[in-house]
Amino acid sequence: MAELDENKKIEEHIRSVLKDFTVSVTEDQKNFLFQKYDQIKTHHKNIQFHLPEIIKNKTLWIISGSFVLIILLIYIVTLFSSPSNDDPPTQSINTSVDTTNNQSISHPIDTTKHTPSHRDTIPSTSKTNTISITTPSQTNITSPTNNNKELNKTTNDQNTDNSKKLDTTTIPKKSNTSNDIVPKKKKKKRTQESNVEDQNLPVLEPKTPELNTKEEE
Amino acid sequence: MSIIKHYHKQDFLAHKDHSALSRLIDEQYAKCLGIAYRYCKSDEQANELSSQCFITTLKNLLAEEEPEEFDENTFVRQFIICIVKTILTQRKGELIADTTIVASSKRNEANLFSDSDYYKTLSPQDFIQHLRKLNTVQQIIYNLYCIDQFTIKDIANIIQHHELSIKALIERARFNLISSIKSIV
Repeated sequence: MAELDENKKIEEHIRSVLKDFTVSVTEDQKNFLFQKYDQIKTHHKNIQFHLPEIIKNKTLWIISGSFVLIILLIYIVTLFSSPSNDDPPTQSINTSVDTTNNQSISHPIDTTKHTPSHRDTIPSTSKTNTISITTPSQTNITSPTNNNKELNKTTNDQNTDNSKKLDTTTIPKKSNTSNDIVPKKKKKKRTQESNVEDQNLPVLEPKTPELNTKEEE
Repeated sequence: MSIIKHYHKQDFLAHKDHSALSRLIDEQYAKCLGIAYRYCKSDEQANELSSQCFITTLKNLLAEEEPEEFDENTFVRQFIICIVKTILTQRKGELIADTTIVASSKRNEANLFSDSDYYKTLSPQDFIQHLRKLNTVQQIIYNLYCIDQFTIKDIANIIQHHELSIKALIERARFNLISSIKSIV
């Protein structure tokens, strides 16, 4: 029993000594704790912006939903208001297209099929040449006023080369194309067409004398 | 009777304000370091684990589910639990049921009653050295039950062992520690 009592006394003494036992803290240990504490604070802030909490947040859902609704409303309003305002622009586009089409249609015809223009002046006289006349007959639609001049020029240049004939054909084109918007393209076309005509010269050569003979007659 | 110190969570979470932490360190860290010296096998381990567990305990108490205020007793208790769990995870391979008895106890048995107050001459560091001679689990259980006055149920929950085995370990730790102390005298 005496031993047990002594053991209890020792135990109580140990408890009293070690219960409030402290160790002095150095400055390095304090600084280390401050550094770790800053890491905790940043971690805590990150936890506050954690994704599941953001998803659970009702106000965020309401704000985002209202924002989407506003965008949808604006889109719908613009959709239903647009048809009344779309008419003028479509018209303007059509007109512009028309002008370009007229030019594009008229000039190529003039350039390509002007060389035998004076044939068109005498279509009814020679029924035998109907096949050759049908193709250039469209030229008369575009340039009816200049036909007489062309005739005069062609008669004067009957004995000249085919190159000169081509030059004479170019002159009425200029007069007809006074309303052209893009002259550069025409030049290019002329050059191309002249080349084409040069290539087609052998075909045209036998026909022109026949017409001239008819006019002389 | 000393007044129990209280700490508010928001003081610690204030932006660029270390005053709450410096207050906590000044008032509690020396005590926590002393506790770590009792539970650990060396001073180096005690210094390492005390800083680690001090921050971990503070982090746990600043969590959202915890109350807005905590006192020093709560903090120290949480610190002890943290340090015990850390030590046990580090020494997982060690057997809990250690039956070793201090070898020198029988040799010095004749001198046990030479002086009735012989143990009072020992310093706290001497007692800590005697505690470190115990098995790790006995050291922990003796500290928890005899010094920090945890209940057997709480110790069983912390160490994850049955209460009966905890009681047996307490008695063995008591016997081994006193035998170690008496052996020196």
